[in-house]
Amino acid sequence: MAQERIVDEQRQLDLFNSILQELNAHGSLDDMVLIGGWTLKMYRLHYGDPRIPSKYTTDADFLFRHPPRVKNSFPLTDYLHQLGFVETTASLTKEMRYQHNLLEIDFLLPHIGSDENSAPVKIPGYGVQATRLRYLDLATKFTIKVEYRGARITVPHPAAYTYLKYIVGDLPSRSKDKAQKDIDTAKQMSEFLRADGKQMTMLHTIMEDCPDPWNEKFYRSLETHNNDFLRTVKDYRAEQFVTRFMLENGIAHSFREQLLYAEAPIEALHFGKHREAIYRKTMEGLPSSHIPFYVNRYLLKDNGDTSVADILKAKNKNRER
Amino acid sequence: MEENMPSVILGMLVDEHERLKEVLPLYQKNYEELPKGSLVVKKKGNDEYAYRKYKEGSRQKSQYLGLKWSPAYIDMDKKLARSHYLMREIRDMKHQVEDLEMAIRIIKGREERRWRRKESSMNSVN
Repeated sequence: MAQERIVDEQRQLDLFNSILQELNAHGSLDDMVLIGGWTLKMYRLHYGDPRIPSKYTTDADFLFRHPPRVKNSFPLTDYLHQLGFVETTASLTKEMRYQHNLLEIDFLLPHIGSDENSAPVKIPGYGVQATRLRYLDLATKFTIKVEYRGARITVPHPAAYTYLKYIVGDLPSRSKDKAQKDIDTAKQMSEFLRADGKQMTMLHTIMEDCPDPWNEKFYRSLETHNNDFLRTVKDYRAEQFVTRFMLENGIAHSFREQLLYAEAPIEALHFGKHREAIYRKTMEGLPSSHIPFYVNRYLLKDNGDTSVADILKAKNKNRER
Repeated sequence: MEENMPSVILGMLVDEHERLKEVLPLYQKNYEELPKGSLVVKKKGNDEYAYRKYKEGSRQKSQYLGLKWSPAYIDMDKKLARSHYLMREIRDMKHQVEDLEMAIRIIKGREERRWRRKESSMNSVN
């Protein structure tokens, strides 16, 4: 059985490289984003960080933008047929795939709109059939270019890739094996993102751009699979809230640390909608340890303007009781 | 010998083994820099006080941190959470390294035996 799975890795790489070369020669690499397992190999080459996993895959997934952009049309289907690829359709999911004994290629398109329009789409100019999948518009919106054998390949930004992996890996429709692989990859990529401030900034930008239900799914997945990274993401977003508040209100930098400490109870105790009032009281000198008392005793009873001196006095009285 | 083993599985396992060997010290270094132990919050009257419980040699120790949600508590909470996470990850990675080493040994052995069989059958034909 294991022997059946033994594939000549070099021949597979040669085949993949020749397809990329052909796409590059036709200027088609700008029209598509390379996603899936090969993306990790590109990240490893580009960033050289061992935290990025490099997993073996027989799939190469090319994602078109929505609507598809076609710079120079070229009969990609004919080219793939010449190489020995055959088209197959999954009976259940209706996904289209181009199969070769060394490599399987999926062409994908972000699925936007109602579930009724989920049938594969023929990409004009290329003639290939692309399967529509949800959430993938994010992978076309936030991208980076990597140099690979003289070509410039577009791949999703690592932060977008990780974000998507967490969401997709937690979808009930995903098979158990694939979901586990998605989550493992996402967890390893999280360590890479955490170590680089720029990657975390991009993750924050992506979350700002994504609709709330997507972010909720992302948070839910983190809560289940990587609570540690959930904390990191929340801390990072808290820093962004503080920075924005300080910039918008012209607050002196000396308050930054206190405001950051205030974020811990705000986040943990779900006081988000009172954030601004808590920030203002914190700048007046309210210690972070007194925030729950202030919210429950004063803010929720419409006495948010009570002075810090009075709050501290009340807290001391409360302690003595 | 390696050239005679065009096994994708073997290559994959060796790559992952090398990657883990490279990543493990990074995790270990981070872990060593962090405090160990766990947080305990005790309620006294209407207030909650936080302590870090940790072991020094065989002795159980306690460090007072202050009120819950005080800066010292918040900092320690973050550090200990990270420390626990890294401890689990390091343990899992070490298990993975052991499993990979065993799998690599088995596959290499099989490949070697297959290669020898092939060699001897070619010699007998000649």
